[in-house]
Amino acid sequence: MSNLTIAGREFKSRLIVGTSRYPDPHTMLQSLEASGTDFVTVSIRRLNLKSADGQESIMNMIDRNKYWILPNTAGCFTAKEAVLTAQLAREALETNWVKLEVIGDDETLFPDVTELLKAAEQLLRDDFIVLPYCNDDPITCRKLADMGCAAVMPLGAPIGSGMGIRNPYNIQIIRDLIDIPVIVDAGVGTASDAALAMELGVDGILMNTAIAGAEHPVKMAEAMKLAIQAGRLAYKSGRIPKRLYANASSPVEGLINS
Amino acid sequence: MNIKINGEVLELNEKTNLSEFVTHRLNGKEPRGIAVALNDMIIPKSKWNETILSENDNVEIVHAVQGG
Repeated sequence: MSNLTIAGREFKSRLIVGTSRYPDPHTMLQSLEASGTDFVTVSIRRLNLKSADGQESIMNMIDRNKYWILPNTAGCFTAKEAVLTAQLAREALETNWVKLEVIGDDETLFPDVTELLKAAEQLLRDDFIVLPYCNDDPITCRKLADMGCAAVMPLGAPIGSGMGIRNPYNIQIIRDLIDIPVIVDAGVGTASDAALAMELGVDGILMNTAIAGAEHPVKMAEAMKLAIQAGRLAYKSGRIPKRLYANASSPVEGLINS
Repeated sequence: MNIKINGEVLELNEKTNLSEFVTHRLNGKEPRGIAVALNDMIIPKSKWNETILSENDNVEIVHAVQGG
């Protein structure tokens, strides 16, 4: 099966995995291993200067020879905040890749499209490789692609909701409209959601909570790996059309009573 | 002189450059995997020595944490 290529970089897996919300670091590392991923997301936050045992840098746990790092701008509500966060990430992690998130609302965590487009434009001008988290809106995705983003990452459902692919038809239209990689980011709850997304023809899936929040994260990571492989293979195999009535699979010629 | 560091106000008695300031705030820890912004502008490590802090400067020191 062909590999996922973004901005000229080839990944061996079509699954991008978040590093947050695991019960403990050991489970996170085991889950990443079981998922088969080689591409993981991290966040940028203030260093805790008060206590020596503040939140440890994730980079002390992640082997950069094994995983490509995608810093996000999670928690940013304006283009200005997102651009500054991306620049801080570039300085701290020595990468110009960014998962651009500009959130419009605390409760839904839906993207703020106007701020997102503004931030994407600024970051592209500043030589970033921009992977924007966006709505499942084909027109926004097309604008982001035309601008020069390396991929578009429409949501399947709200972040952490586990609701699956709420609008598969839009994802399909996005797939048809856009020539750059389409990554479904957010919403996947279980393996069948991941398989469905892949069957729609998207290039990959980014997920975090579905694995980290599962009762058995390591097993779920493996389930997601298999679902994505199966979904991709099914997409490439060309499914049969759906029909309302039956179509006998056994031969109709030579029946004994004819 | 008052400096804001990661959202909290700190009083400094003497003139200091960003390099000394960051080293002191990190309590001797290696300044690896971190980034510093001064008044919403990134200051690359190579410029820390020549950057002198002034009254009401806003310093942010960040690093990478777990994220989705």
